[in-house]
Amino acid sequence: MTTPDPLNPLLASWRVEPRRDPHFRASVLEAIGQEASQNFGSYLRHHAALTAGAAAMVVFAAGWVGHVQGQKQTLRDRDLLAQAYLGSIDARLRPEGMTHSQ
Amino acid sequence: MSRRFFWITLGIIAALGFVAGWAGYYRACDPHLHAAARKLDAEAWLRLEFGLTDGQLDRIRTLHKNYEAECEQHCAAIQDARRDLSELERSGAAEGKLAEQRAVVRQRELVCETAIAGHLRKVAALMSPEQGQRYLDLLLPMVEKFDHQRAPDLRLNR
Repeated sequence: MTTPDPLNPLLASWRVEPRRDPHFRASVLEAIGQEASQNFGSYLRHHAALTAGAAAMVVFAAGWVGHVQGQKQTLRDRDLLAQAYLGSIDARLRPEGMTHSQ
Repeated sequence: MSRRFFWITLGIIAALGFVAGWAGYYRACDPHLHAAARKLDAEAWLRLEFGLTDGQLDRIRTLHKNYEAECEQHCAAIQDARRDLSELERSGAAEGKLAEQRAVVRQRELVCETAIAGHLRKVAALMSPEQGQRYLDLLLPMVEKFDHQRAPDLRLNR
């Protein structure tokens, strides 16, 4: 004769007693309503600080990089022109056979 | 929906970044200088860089034109000496002869260098004192740093 499984009476006696949330139904309906009515403006308002912070950082960094590249381009242009100018008057820079007018 | 708005926001921030980068570049880059560089317009560069008036530019143009004849002489003398050196090297001449010819080349280049420096000083004298000094500070070191070992081209070594 087998011994009865103690698990069955234990499971039979077990009861789930959740705490009652009087606002549960209302909060579900509210969440559904929010999802349905969200537009881009409300999204931005909801994430205003993060969006503004990210935009400010990107604008500052990109502006600074653009500025540095612009300065480098100016230096390159100036250097190229100074060399072209000197090349027009420095006989040492002329390849063999080339005259001043070439 | 939130994911879509996220990507739209990211796109807007990226576009703002692009505009900011372009604006920063445009403010720092001199568009007139850049246009002159694209055409290798040395005269436009002189005018822009040193703030020359039309009168100053005309006088400098005249000075350059008058220097052309002297420059041609230096050019011919240096090219002749270099040609002779090349011929000696090709014919396997003795080291002493080669050294002598190299000295001739160097001496003629020095004459040219002195003449250029003098010409640059004359040009600088036609500008305002401050711009003239800037002109010399920029160009004289480039003339002095010329590396005589390299084959001549339009780009001076640094």
